[in-house]
Amino acid sequence: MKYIICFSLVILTGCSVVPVKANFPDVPERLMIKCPQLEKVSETPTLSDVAKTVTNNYTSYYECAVKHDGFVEWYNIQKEIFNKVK
Amino acid sequence: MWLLSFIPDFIFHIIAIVGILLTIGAIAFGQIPFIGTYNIPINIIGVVLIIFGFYMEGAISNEESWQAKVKEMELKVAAAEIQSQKENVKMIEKVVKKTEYITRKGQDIIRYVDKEVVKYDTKFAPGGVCEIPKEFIKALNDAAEAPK
Repeated sequence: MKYIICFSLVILTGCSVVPVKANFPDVPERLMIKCPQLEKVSETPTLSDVAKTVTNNYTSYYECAVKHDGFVEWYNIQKEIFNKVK
Repeated sequence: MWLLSFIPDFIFHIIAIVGILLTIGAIAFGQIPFIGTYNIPINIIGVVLIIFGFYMEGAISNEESWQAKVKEMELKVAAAEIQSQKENVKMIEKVVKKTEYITRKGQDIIRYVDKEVVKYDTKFAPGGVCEIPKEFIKALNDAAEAPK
């Protein structure tokens, strides 16, 4: 038993831990906002109501697309930075 | 190596030196009657101390090289964190700028609708000359429906 303990101690002298750890960064809050639902036209709309609804929906789409594209670009850049730390 | 974290390096240098001295002593003074009696145990202890001392010398050297690598890694991680923050700021600025432009453009178009398109509201009102068909409204609303 004594020999086993001594042998284990000798073996354990080689043990070590690597204290450095690189964490993948958090996504900016701005890119985490959910895309809104598209607007619908009322039952008896005027022509301007239809035009406004379509405009608002296009605007919502482009705002959402900017966030999505931004997220993809952010991810690719951060991945590249993260992969360099090796 | 955890052993090196709480035992100072010089202890292992001393062990190695003592081991060498004991071995040399055992060889040199082996013929002297009194010391000669303890020649073999002193020799064994000396060799054991040399082996352990040299093993730990190697471990110290290895530990130093690892510590250097850790330092290098820490610098790399710190540099990456700074670069990452910079890129985050750049990205947020870009998204804010683009979103503001899109919102402003949408508002401009709404203002245009309120000014120009509104003139045709009566013409396209229910029961008017060019009433907007219900099917058209349905198609638009169906397209706007979120997928379930």
